[in-house]
Amino acid sequence: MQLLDLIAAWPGANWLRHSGTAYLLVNAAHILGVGLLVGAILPLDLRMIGFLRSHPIEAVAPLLLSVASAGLALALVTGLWLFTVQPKLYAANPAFLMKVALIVVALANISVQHRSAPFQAALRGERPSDAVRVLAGLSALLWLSALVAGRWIGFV
Amino acid sequence: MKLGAFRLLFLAGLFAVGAGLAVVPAGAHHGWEWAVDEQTELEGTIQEISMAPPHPTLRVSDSQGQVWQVDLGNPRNTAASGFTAETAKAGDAVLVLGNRHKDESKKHMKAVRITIGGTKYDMYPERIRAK
Repeated sequence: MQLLDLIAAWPGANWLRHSGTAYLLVNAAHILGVGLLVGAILPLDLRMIGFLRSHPIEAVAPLLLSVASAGLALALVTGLWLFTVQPKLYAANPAFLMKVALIVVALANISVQHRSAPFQAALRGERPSDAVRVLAGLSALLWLSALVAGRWIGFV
Repeated sequence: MKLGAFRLLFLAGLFAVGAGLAVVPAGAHHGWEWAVDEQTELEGTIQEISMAPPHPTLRVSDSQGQVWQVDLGNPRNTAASGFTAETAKAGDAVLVLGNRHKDESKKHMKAVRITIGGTKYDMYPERIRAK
């Protein structure tokens, strides 16, 4: 497990191990990232599925997508950073591994959804196709599951 | 409100995930629910000290050579107890008072107090039921 030792040795990890305040601020930034991501993607997914129909997709989607991607970027950066504090511990934690797997599937889901012509059409205000609605539902379930798996890490 | 097939399907999926999670047993670290109520003592030798957040931990081998994971307080509780990375080193004798895991096959304990070289470090002073 030399790679994990190498990851644990970078200065950013050392800093978090020695400053409780720095750790909790990075931890809070991670929660902020997750909050922005899930808080934005959930309403968009629900709207695609067919809930919240009083809000036109073309009106809400641009803002929700920008907020979700900013949240995703923040969550990924801070999440990787927190991982480096105790990489061996997390690599052996089943909840953490489950969370990573869920995130990988959720990212793959994003790439499939965003490449589809019917999704792009839905962003312009056309009625979402069945495939778009299924992937939107999958997105909501995957991100919620990743959130729960993440919280589970401390309870394994 | 009339729900379409997709919305029903989504709600069913949400329910399935929630129900699936509810049956998975939750475990350790946070809170005390995973540990027994009774406090016991563990006498042993420190093998490894980790001060890394969110929970500083010791690895302690007992007289039978079994290695225990001993969770200390959170970083602030631990600092308030007076215990730092320099307080002890591998090889030092330690007496741990704490609550062990409900699953006895797990050598895992949450410390309320550790004693090293006659000095007491109280992680959770309000929980200590003095011996």
